[in-house]
Amino acid sequence: MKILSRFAGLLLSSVAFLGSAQSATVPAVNDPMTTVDPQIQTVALHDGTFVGGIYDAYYGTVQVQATITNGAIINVSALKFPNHSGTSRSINRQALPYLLQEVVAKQSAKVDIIGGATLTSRAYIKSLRDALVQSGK
Amino acid sequence: MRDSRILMGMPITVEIVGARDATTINAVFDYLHQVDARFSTYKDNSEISAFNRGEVLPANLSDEMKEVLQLSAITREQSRGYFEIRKADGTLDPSGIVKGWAINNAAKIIRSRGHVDFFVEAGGDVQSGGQNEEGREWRVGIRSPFHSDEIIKVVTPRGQGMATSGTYVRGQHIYNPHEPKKPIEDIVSLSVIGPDILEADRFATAAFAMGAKGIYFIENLSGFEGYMVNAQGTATQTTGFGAFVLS
Repeated sequence: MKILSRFAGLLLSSVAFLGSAQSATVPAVNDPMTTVDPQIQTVALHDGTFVGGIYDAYYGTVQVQATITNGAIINVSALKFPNHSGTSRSINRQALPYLLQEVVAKQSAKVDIIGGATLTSRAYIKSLRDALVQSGK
Repeated sequence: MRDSRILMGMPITVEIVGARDATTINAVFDYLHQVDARFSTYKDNSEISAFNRGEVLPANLSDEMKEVLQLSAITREQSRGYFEIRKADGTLDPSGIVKGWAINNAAKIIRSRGHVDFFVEAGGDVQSGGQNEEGREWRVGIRSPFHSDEIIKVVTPRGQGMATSGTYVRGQHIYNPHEPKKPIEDIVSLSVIGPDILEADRFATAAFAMGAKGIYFIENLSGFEGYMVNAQGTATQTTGFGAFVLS
């Protein structure tokens, strides 16, 4: 877990850095639930929009799309992630005390400060790798 | 006046409304630099690293280190062992409490210099005071654990601290000491609002280690509210959390 997570950070920073150099460092990922092959392959990125595979990891279903322009990664967005449109609210009757639940939804209100965690799940990385490999073909 | 720097391995932002010069902001960053030099387990010459190598006797530790270790011991008791700074190899890693402690002390430095309208944000943990430049309550967005460029909640902490524990991109740094081999995967983010950022941080860290049950620990903790997001994108909030929610 730790090695993979660090690798994920490395991958994203490598991507950000190498994107401008018209190539990206992509880790070879075996079973995302177990190990990461430390082997690294370097691929040149071709322009376009590339969609990674759908991965049903422990986290749920994740699929990302990478947009490459002039050999650089311009955007990475999630097409599928553990979320649904709209906000539904329900009362959790599984455990006491009853706590309000909702499906998380994007907020557009203006804020002064952004707090909270960011997550890069293994499935996200695996799907991103797919998209980059496709771009390199 | 607002300034952001990378310190302690994370981006840190300090804003002081109405500050005429950078004196106080610089004092805050100087202080955080000292904290990093003393508490970083990544630095061989830090006090914590020397202590972990057995080169410093407990009695000879600095007052700051003694305070943090004591706070860690208290939090361990209060969380029935879920908060644990002793790692499997026997060394101590107090990073789960140092960030909140340092932000809290930074806020004290700012207040002691006569400023009331400010915020300090370090790695997603926030202590604010007073109001923003427009004379309104500070509005804090909780970043989505799934999309780093989106926010999923907007809250006004009104002088209280807000800390978030989660599986950060920096690596899963929190584990359940009762089952150290088992990664925490059922929840991805737990934000806690507490009396100040030190209190919010230590209980956010402890509750996150409890997994999905952590939100009930916060629910039962007087003076604390929480917002937990699980891997399926469902959020569970404590009964009083809604009072802080703007949208």
